[in-house]
Amino acid sequence: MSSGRPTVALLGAGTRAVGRTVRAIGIPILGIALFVGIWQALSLRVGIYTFPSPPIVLRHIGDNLLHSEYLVSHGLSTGSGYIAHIAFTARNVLMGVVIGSALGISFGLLSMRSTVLKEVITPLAATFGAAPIFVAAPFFLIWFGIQPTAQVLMVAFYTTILLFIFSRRAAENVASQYIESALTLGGRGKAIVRRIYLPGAIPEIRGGFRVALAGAWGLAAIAELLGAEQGAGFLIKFFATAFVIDGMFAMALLLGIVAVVFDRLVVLGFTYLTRWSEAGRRLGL
Amino acid sequence: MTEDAGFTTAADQVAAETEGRHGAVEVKDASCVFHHRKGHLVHALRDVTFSVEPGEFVCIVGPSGHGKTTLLRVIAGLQAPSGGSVTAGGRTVEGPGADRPMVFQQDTVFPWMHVRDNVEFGLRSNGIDKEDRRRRSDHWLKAVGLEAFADSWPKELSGGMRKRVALAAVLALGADVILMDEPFGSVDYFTRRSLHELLLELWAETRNTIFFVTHDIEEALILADRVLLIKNGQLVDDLRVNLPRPRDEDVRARAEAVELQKLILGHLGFGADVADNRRMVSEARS
Amino acid sequence: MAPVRRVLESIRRPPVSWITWGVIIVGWEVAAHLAPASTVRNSPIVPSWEFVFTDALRQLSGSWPFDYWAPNPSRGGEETYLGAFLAIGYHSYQSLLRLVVGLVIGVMAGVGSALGISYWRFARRLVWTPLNFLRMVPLLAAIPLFQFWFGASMTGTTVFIAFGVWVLLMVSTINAVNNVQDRYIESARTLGASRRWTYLTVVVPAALPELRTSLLLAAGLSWSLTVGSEYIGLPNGLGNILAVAEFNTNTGRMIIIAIIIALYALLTFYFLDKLFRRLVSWVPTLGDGSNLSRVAGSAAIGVPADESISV
Repeated sequence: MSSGRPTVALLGAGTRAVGRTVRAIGIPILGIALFVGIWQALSLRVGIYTFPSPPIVLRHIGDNLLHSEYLVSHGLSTGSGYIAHIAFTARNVLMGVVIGSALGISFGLLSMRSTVLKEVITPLAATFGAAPIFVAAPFFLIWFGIQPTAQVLMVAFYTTILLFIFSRRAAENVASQYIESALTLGGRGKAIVRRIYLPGAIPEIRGGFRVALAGAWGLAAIAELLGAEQGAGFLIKFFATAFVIDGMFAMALLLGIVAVVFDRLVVLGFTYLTRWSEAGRRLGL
Repeated sequence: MTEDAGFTTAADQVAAETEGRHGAVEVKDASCVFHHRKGHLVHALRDVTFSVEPGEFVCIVGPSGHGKTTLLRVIAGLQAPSGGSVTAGGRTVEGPGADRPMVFQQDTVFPWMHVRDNVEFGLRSNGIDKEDRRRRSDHWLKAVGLEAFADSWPKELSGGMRKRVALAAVLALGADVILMDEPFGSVDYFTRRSLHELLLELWAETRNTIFFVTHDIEEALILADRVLLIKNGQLVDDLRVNLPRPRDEDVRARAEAVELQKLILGHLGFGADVADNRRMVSEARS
Repeated sequence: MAPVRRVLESIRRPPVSWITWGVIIVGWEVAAHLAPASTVRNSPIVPSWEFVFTDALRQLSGSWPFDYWAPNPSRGGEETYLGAFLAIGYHSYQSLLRLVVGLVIGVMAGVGSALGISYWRFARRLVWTPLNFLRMVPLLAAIPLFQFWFGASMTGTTVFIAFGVWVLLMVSTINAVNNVQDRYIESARTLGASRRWTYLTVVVPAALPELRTSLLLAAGLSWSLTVGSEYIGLPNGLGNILAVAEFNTNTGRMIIIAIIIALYALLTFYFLDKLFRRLVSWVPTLGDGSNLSRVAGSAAIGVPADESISV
């Protein structure tokens, strides 16, 4: 800090940018390396039959992801690998989340205009939202059967509740001066919902979306665990009964990766939607 | 952000005392260059040089965004200059320390500590023992008029009262140099005036060197012995304010005071003689 | 006394929510009578309230595994209400024990390890990516795996719950530390505090309030994990009775258990929230008052708060 030492700033824009990128990419990679290292150490300590090591799991995934002899030999597929089952689950999760969000956000924002709507839905949402939702899973299964419908509906139910709460909170937090300004400029009713509340609430709604998505994976998986004939949960249950530890581990890992990928996509999508906002600037990594 | 250069204890302060000229601050050719997101460089400070005698009340005045806060943060040690040096009490500034405590513009009273603990925080961090701390916090709480609130939570106080807590916390350290970054900017005019009175009262007792950043010329005239004008990162002028204290409305209505105001405004680009001012500004820039 | 007064007041002027619940309860009963009759005994498609609180409730006594205090239906004894309540109590105890121990251990481990690591900025950033990944792995899908590792037992389930909560709280705490405002840190430093002292007396307390929603989320998560584990592999606990009921497609018993679980969950949130507020009583605004509905709403949301991380 004493005289003579130039600031990093004087090193030139190019160098600085490179430095930033290296840090932005390098540190996560280092973190992952640390994770894999700990994983390997645990595996060595506990034994690969209980806690398969990274190379084992990765090889297992490589062998089975796209095309799985193992599944074919057990009559569980006609040639496709794990990815087909994951895709099945993913499709249900997405459908449920999309339907649920549309409903939840609409109700949430509309409840800003109708106190009756608010008073009716909020306590319901709070109760159902807080209680572990899949307690309702057996009911869904009984009422709607085991097919994907039950899963989609359950995920949609959960997502609706969550997004209702989130979008309502987000709308409440849209600064009142924007609403009042719109009103004095002649805006009314539905238009205010669409053009003030909605854009204003989007940054916070993003949070709800991510939470719902993350929870939805677990919901869909456990619904499949309970009685489906396809999907990630189904595979896990199969592996559990057959004691295929590598498989269980691989599925958990794959589900985690898929969840992270979808989450990042959501963040990217919302970054685009909120590129106008201060918060938006922070959102994009 | 800042580097960790250790902390300054009461013992270090004593050492500074024996080195003499404690409370004197010298800034030599200080520059501060930042890298803007878009790629170009921003020169927040350019070759600022001045020296301050112990016990002076110095106001750093200038438009927002021109470097006053940067200068203060450099003196505080929160910001490393990219060139030049700062010495306080004869020692080079290398980081923040209890010899140069700062009152911030935002509310920095710790909400999770009682008022008294806030005032004692600096003392506690520097190893002062319990009895001594108690004595000093008692004294300073009384001095700022908050002795009845010693055991309250900060959330129970008004904004102006929390400012007084921040003041007490800083003064309790007994440091020779006190830094203030637009400390009264967030309170209303009337509270600000009463805080001015309080500050001047306390300063009359302790005679620390004070650096007070503000964009409010009236505030500068009420408080300062000396005004440093910062525009575009440069020290544009260094003015003595020889008006008698207290600087009430009558004093500030005097001719010299008005001339001073016009001079300051002129330097910063305002005032009747626009052509002259433009010339002054472009000269200052080059 | 205050809560009682509030309840009495709301009886005088019933809020819309009471009406809503009333409508739902009545509507359910109507649906029960309108639904097609089920062919399987004791398995109405929509069980009426009468069925729920008589036959179904009594049938729960079948889950009381002991011979004393109430007749044991699995050995031919009759189904009694006493047996049912004992059963509910027993299984509640199992579930609550797992949950509370797992939750407490998880919270302490999560917050503790995070505070320890967060001292170094590099460590925070390093650990962030893998931890976040771990958090995204749907734990409900990993129940069989954990049961293989730790056993389908009280200990095993507790470890599982503690793990899930640990990951969640660790992520949230690191984020909370990251979000501590610079002005507090700078102020402490200019008052002469060392880095270590600043961390202990300024950064840690400043980060705590942000943990509230994660704490509530952890409570919700632990309920899911508890009931989920019990459902899939355990011989006792609320999830287990639920599984048994579902196996017999006894919708009446399922409803009772669902209601009980929901009530327990709400109570958990309420008390956790109260406890937390006591801990951070100095905070100026902690939002979402003590209204149960709002607390539960917060729990449902439990924003993982990594929205603003810029690691």
